[in-house]
Amino acid sequence: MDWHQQYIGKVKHAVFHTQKTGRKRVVVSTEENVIASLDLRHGEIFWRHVLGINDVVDGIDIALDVITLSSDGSTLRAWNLPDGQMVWESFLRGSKHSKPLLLVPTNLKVDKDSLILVSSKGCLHAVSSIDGEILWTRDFAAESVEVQQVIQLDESDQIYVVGYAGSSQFHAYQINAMNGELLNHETAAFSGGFVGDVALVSSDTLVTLDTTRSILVTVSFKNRKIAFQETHLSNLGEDSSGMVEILPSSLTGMFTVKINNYKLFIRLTSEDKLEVVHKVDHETVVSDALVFSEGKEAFAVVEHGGSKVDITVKPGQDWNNNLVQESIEMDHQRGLVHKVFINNYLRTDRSHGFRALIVMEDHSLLLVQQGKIVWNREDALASIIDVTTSELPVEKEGVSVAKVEHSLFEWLKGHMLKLKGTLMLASPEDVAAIQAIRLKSSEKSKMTRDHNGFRKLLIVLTKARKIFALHSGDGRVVWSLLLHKSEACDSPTELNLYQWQTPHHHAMDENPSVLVVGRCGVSSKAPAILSFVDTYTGKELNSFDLVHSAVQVMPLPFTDSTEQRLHLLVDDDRRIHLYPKTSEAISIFQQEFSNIYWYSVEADNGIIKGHAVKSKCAGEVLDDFCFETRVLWSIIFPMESEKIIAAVSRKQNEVVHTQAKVTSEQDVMYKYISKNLLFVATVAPKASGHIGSADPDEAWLVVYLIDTITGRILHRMTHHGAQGPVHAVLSENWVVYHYFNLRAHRYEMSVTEIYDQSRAENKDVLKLVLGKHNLTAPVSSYSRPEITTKSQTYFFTHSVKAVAVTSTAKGITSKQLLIGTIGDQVLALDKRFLDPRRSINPTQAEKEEGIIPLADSLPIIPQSYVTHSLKVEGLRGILTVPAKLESTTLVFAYGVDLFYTRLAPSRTYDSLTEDFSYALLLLTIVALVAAIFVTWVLSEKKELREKWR
Amino acid sequence: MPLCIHHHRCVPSSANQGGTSDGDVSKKSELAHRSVLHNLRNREQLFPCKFHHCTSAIELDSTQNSVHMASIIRSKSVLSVFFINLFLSLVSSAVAVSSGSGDGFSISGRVKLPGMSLKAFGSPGGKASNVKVVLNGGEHVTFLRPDGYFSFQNMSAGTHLIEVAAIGYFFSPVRVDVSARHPGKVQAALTETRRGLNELVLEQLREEQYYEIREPFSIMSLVKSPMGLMMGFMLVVVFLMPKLMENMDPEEMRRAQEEMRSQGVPSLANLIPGAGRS
Repeated sequence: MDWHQQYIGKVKHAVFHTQKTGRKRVVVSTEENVIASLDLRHGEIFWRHVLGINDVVDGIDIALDVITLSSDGSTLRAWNLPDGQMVWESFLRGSKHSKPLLLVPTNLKVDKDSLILVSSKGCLHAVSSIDGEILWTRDFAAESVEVQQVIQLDESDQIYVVGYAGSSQFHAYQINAMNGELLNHETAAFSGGFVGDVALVSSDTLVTLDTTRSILVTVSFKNRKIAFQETHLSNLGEDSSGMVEILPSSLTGMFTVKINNYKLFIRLTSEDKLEVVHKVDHETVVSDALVFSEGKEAFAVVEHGGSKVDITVKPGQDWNNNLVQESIEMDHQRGLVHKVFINNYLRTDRSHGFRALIVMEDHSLLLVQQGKIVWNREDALASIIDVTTSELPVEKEGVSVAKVEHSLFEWLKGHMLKLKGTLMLASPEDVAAIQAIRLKSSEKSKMTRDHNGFRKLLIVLTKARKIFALHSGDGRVVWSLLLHKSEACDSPTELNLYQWQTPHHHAMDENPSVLVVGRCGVSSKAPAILSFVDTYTGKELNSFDLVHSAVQVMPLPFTDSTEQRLHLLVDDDRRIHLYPKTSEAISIFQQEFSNIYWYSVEADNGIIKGHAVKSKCAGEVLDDFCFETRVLWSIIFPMESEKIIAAVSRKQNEVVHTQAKVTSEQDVMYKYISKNLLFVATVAPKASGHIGSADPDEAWLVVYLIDTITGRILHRMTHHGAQGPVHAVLSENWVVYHYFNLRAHRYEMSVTEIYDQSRAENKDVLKLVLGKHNLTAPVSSYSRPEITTKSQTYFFTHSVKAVAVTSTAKGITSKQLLIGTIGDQVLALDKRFLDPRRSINPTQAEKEEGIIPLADSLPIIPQSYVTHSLKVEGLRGILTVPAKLESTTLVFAYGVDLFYTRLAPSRTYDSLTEDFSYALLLLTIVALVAAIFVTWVLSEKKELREKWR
Repeated sequence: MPLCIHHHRCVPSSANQGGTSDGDVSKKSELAHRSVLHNLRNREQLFPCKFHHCTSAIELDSTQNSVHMASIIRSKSVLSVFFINLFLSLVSSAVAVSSGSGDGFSISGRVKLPGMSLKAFGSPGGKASNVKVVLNGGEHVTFLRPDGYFSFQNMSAGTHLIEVAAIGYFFSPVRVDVSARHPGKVQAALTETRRGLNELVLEQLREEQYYEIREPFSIMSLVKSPMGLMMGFMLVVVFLMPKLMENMDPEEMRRAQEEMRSQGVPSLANLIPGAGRS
């Protein structure tokens, strides 16, 4: 029923640990701030740590323990290699920002202690690898030198530190690594100035670019002398116009320059001349140099060729020689190779073999050895941006003859396999095949719709621009699709998923599809990209590069004849664009023209605006699908006292069962149910930072409930001495929000419920009989009903990462709040605990109604953690989807990990529980039948005896 | 620079914090020593007070010092010395050392897990490597050393919140006050129980059982289930009722039947065709 998957994210750095006997592993750090040790044989996680959001990993290495440098070079940690226990943690201080560098010199050892050199924040620190103690520190920021490289001189305890002061003064320091003593300091000015990265070609030579980015500068600092040598890129026979960049690499005697969209491998000859060795396109990736036996070096080059990827391992400095050349078939859904790390191993015949760890464009991680992919990890799933669900295909009843024949063969084959399995004749492959068949036909992982609506496809969009369909039964990837990249757009980013087409009544033959909205670039003004993806097949049906941007996307509650949902895209000029671009869509839209309203929240300016459609766009190009809009209302928050930190609206597809709520006093309260409610939270600008940055006296939190059609503020409440972050959920007629109370110094959760007073008069039976009631009047924002609100506040122990509410098919089942806590667990909390009608001493009638006596804090019952003893590391969001069974809701929590479960907030009242004992039921029936027969025989006998008497 | 002079009240002095000249030092340390003596003499008058003394004249091994304070300091300024912490810790209720150097304060503490002292790494909860310590709802996240210690650096003065995330245990968040006026004064309290802490040693309030214990199979649960009750009732009817009927006096029975007939109560037997024959 539940499943839990662990991921790590896109790998940034990888260090192999294979020298020792025992488990072979690779330690990686990722873009999700994860440090993990992976099994090199199977790719499983030995251990893993998810660092804080701001704790970006800068470097990783192995010196006895795993050493990681993070937080812009200010935190150095050591982790025990076998079990991942943190051994020590050191904080490095410095005054200035500089490039964080981590260096673990190979043979600088005193007893067992090896030295770790860290250059960060303008200082060079030497740290002991045993306890993390800082042995010595040298401040380069004082001399305004920005350190570029720390170089270990071969086999000695001396290091070179090179850097720039300003952009043209070059400094080289020779330092004794054991005690930090300065041995020598040379400096020289270069008139051209330096820019960009440096590439180290040997222990005393490096190459960089001058400020014009057209001259390669070779800097050698041999024998206490600094010499510059300039080489024009054009002298190398290359066109140097465009973007020139030196790529950081660690190849000896060679470096890589990226010019526009190709890469040059340039070698430094023995006469200190530069020559181009090879020219490749930009998709080619080079690994760092690997030192294997007796100081021999090797590096890997990965090139693309059609559907294949060619991996060549070359010995250092010799381009034309290959140690290994392999070609592997690569799924084109994985995109391009982004990074490669290599490692060597000894074959049985004492020769050297190489394995390569490849990071692909879709963030997946592959281990390649002997031309085969040994294992792969789909680590894009660690970076989910948006989730939606899709129904599975309906089970087909009528099947064509060809299909029957085909399935007959399959059926026979399946049975042969099963027979083999039972007769213990099956080979391992057969066993796997049997298991696959079993899995396919098992109730929970079938690829068809089920009666209860438990089986669904979870469509997830990831940062890697890859879309996955996960089966809700077991969490396996049904299909995955790397979105097509058009030539026009270099760096597309994906934003959201929308259900484009969900056929149910007519148009049953159409497959459902989702709309993926992205934009070309980072800014919100960048042109939008639309893609349509079939959710059954995982094929990209269509994709458009739009000319306008998409600041906001609004699915409308209308569909056309093929069940395509109408969507409105708002661009940065506040014009709206209608999709799909069909005449049918426009006719539907024109009918509802005057009923279309929306709102926009400008958090930076503190303005909320309501909009309506005005007219067709007036432009040179006639566009039927473009409309001008007008601002209906706006709410301007005073910038000096209020800053918007949260805006939450109701889920559009939420179902409310009843509007009336019968209280214990036989009284009726009418919920104010409007789809156009918006919850907004503002805080004092001073208190918008982290906890501890503001005094209670200068902090306040103001919450609003706003009708988004009219801009009417329905409710406003101030919490003095409170601050964010605010996590809120709006459902039915209530809103629950979580914030921090600075006075009590605890987190609080408040609930506010809104009731419609104008309907409260409908208690008179006579009125009801005579029809003089307004119950059938539609809930409309045009009317201005009297409303009342009730609120209550409780303490809540934990920080919160996400809040969601369960949703069921008909909205009858009571609700639970799903709270993602700071410990990456998901807690299910009954809405009954957040009921403003709770009082300290509820009356008997109220108790019967289910009102819980008021307590100052919300209870945390360990059994109500839906994740049980599992963690959804890096939790970011919780999605709830109703199942067809009213009692049940499907919950998907995602972060670095994924977790899926089914919840029944009021227990499964409409179906038997899973632990229902069918055996006992059968036994009872059998026993009853047996008893009937026995009694019948007995009574017959008795009757006979009576008659004889 | 605060100085403890009398009654352990921390009085901010006019001298600024960083710029203590060397000439000042001897006088100040003298003052400090005097106040320590004072402290020891007046132990009954407990008042949170902590000394922070920035001087370049005296250098103590800060690590050693802080071990006594159940905390570890890693500060750039080795020169900042907490030279009377050791004595003060006997009497003060302050909990963790913080340094008032230019980079902010640091908070150190320790998390005690039940399994950790026994090195029982087999149990999933008792493993220190699975514990995270979170500052201010995610501003910083740190991990535990094998001995359970943790520390946060570069903290601003003010009130902070420390939470411990450990699967299997319920920890109360801890409110930590870092005083700007009295550098080095840190107070901590559990927010759940409002209990003050003498040392920043965090212990779980309770263990958490995430799974409901499945009731063991017993014959009683079978009997108690609706179906069991049904079967039991049936058995009673089948086997005990005839016995009861037998024990009845046949005379009485006949009388009762006649009574019923005379009253004309439509008995069940009359309604069922065929049953009335006998």
